[in-house]
Amino acid sequence: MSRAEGGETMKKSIGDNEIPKGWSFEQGLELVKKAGYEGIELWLGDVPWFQMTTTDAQVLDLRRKVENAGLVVSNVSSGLHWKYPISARDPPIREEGIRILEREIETAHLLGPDAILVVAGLVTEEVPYNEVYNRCLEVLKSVAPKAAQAGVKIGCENNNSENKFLLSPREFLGFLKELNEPSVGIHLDVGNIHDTGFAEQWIEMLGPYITRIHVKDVMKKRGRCCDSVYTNIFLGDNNWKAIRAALDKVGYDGWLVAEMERRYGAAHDQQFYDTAAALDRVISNRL
Amino acid sequence: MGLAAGSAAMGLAGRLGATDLAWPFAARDAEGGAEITVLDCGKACTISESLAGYESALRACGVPHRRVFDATGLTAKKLIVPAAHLSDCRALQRIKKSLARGGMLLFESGATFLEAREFEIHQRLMESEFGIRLGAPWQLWEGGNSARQTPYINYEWPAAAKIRDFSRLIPVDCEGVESIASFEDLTLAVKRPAGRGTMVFLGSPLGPHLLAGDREAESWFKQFCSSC
Repeated sequence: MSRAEGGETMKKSIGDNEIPKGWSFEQGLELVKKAGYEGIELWLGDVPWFQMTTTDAQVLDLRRKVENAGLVVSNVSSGLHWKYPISARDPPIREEGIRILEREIETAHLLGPDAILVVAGLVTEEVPYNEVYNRCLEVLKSVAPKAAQAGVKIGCENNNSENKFLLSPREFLGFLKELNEPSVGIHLDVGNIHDTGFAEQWIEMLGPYITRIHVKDVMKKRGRCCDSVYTNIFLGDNNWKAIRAALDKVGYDGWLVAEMERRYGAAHDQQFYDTAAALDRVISNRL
Repeated sequence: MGLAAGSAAMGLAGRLGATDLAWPFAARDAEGGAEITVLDCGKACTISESLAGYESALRACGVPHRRVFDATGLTAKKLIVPAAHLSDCRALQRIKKSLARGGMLLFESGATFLEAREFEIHQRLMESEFGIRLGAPWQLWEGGNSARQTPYINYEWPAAAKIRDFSRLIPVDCEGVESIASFEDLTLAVKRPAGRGTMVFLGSPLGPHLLAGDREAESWFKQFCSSC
């Protein structure tokens, strides 16, 4: 049944790494719920309550708290792969990256969502593109069966000019096709594309492979030297009408996960409300 | 065998009734044997990608098809005319005659990038020969703020789909005919009786999107082939 016929509709969530510093997890959950979100994204390694050392029992306790707050976990993410890339030359670092990926899968299985985010690959001056490509293929191929068994999809995030890997939609699609693992797709960030392309075109080309969508806006003309290129939804250069139409075109009815990298300087909780309201406009296509 | 030489050979085979040419595209040989006929209008096909797109999609769907270069004496159950700007009304009349025994014609306008005078000829002939009234071309991407618009045309028949525009839209007057695709309040494709058959007119090219691998375009076209 299509959305137009009253079928599934997109839901919105926001990362627990956006909870104001000094707040408890429970306080954060209360804010997320009050602001109108249906879910919360949990960031492994980014927040005090969810680290690599967090036990399974503690993870289950997180789930209980989330559900008591009237929310669900939309997905598990991690920023730890910027430090421990799965494409690293140094074997211990790569092994740690793999362990982090596996832990994301394990905790997602405990927490309930069917998707995780991974920053797959980091191209640097030292570690060139082709090596990164081959290592990512190898690691994802080896971990995919574990994800499939857990009922979890690995969403490789497009970080474009940040990790300098898989820079175009066709490149990304080619990578996923070469990998050929149903449990690996793309966690598509519509803000990370910057001025290298157009988010709606990424959505079109990668449609069936999209696991989750990260939502933020981007100021495409702003250089990267000084300040953040990201901004609140509707304040940047993304064509939200086209993005919304593209989501319809490919039949995406999953989670929209707010990732507001540019934080309010004051009244931090207000950003939760404003972002939720903006996401509601996107979901209901009142643009 | 090069594409052009192969195409010529296919046309020759169609006229002579030759069989089993070494042609990689699996088109059927005997006249009338193919399920779908694609009319290559030569220079009057203004977007060659469109022709290639339809043939590519037909191959992908496994639909038996053939390419012809002249509609003279043609009787086809289903005829596709990609990106056509035929300024010779006799050519259009031959296409019409192919529907004399019924069947389905998919006529894709080749007016997308025509100069004003050429467009007027196209507009006049489409009305006189097929009763299809076209409006002035609409430039989707010029002069406006792209942030205010979407690049998709909404198709309703034979299936709902959003498929990209091709820069310029040719609106169709839908009075008395069935609108099957639109962009905002502009009708861009219609379906109407033609002789004993049915004509589907596309005012925005679909063929290039088939060539580009647009999934929704491919799915729509597959439904179209099944529905004829």
